[in-house]
Amino acid sequence: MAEATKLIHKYLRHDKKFPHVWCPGCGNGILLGSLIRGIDRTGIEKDDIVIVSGIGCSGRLSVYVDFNTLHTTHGRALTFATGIKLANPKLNVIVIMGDGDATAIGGNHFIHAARRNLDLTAIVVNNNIYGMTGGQYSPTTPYGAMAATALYGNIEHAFSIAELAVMAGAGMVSRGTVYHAAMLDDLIEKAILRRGFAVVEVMSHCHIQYGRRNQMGDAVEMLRLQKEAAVRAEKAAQMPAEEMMGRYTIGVLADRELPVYTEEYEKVRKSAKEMMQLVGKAESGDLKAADKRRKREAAGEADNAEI
Amino acid sequence: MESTQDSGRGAGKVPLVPKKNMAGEPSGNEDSGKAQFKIDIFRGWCKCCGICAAFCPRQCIRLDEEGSPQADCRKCTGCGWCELHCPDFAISVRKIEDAGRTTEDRA
Ligand SMILES: Cc1ncc(C[n+]2csc(CCOP(=O)(O)OP(=O)(O)O)c2C)c(N)n1
Ligand code: SF4
Ligand code: SF4
Ligand code: SF4
Ligand SMILES: [Mg+2]
Repeated sequence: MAEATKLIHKYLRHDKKFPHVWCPGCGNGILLGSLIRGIDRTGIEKDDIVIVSGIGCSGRLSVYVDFNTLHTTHGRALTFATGIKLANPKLNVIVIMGDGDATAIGGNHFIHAARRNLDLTAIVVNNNIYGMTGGQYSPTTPYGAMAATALYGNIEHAFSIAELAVMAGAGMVSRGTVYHAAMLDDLIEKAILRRGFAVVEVMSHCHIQYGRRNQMGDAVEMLRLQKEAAVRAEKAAQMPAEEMMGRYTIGVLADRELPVYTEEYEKVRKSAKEMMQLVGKAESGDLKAADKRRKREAAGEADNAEI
Repeated sequence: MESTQDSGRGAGKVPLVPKKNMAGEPSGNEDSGKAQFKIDIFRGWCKCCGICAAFCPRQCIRLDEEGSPQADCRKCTGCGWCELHCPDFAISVRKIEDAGRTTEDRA
């Protein structure tokens, strides 16, 4: 076995059932590899990592990796992650969500986690559909696309997860694809090392629930579509808008130093502690004085008694 | 293919290894002085998705009648694309260690 595969095995939970649950060729498996390589490159110890996932095909990822893991409820992965990070800021918390998970039921948590710039890594697997539950459309299903709940074509408009995260205030936002797996390793590593809310939107494919309904072919064909649609950020900046139609940018889209919620919260705690100490001192000063007074009075009474 | 280069494990980085036929290996690549690679497929985990076969830049992998990948190592450059993209961690490529010399073989 070559080093690359050995490395994967170092982080898999071998007591789980393999091959994993995902369909043949599913992008979630490729992402799992990238996540492991990205984490390994940061050099962070297994025990200092927490993987929190929601519910969906993508949410199954946390089951297979040998870190501290929490497989939570649909849409709420970020709320659990927030609690973990605030309780123990030393932990590196990585959240895995599906597009439905993060932007439909969990949409509010997502924008507010970004707005607060919580020190978390959020990986959103965007396969444009609710994969696990049978192909209902999600907020990222394109207009006109077919879905189990859009038999005449989707009449809603998709939004871009990465751009939403930029506008909501995330410190770092990037987009990758599972086709560009080596680049994805890199984006995940950067996101983990970044202080603040770091989002990686991962363009993936669900050929079973989405591709099949939309004549996009199998996993191989859908990977080809990713290759064609993705334009590196440096190149995209020079491309006319018409040429970018139907395409998307990959790479780091935003990277900015903003106050980080967890650090701001620490400052509040510190200030509050200092304040409480001052109050405590003042109170204990009062108490001491009162104590002396009491003693003096008691001594006086005793003197009087002797007379 | 861009990802191939991204992987940083291109054939260009591999030190020269004299042509040598390994027992049980295909007859090796014809140009002498090129590194040789062995492709291992773990059947227990392979789901026959065909990704490795479709994207190998040297067409080293073909799918048999059952859709199961069959590898021919002769043209493999060890680029690592298949290993990096297999969703099931079912394919692994390593350089064949030359018996007489220590090489960078990390397998
Ligand atoms: C509160 C709640 N509502 C609905 C569901 C049903 N449900 C499970 S997964 C899912 C959507 C999955 O889509 P996505 O988040 O995109 O993940 P994917 O399966 O595509 O990876 C839904 C609606 C649930 N489990 N819990
Ligand atoms: S249903 Fe779609 S997302 Fe879920 S495992 Fe199958 S291919 Fe992957
Ligand atoms: S990519 Fe992996 S699972 Fe798919 S056919 Fe090749 S070895 Fe099998
Ligand atoms: S490493 Fe894999 S993808 Fe690259 S040439 Fe060899 S068989 Fe093909
Ligand atoms: Mg989805």
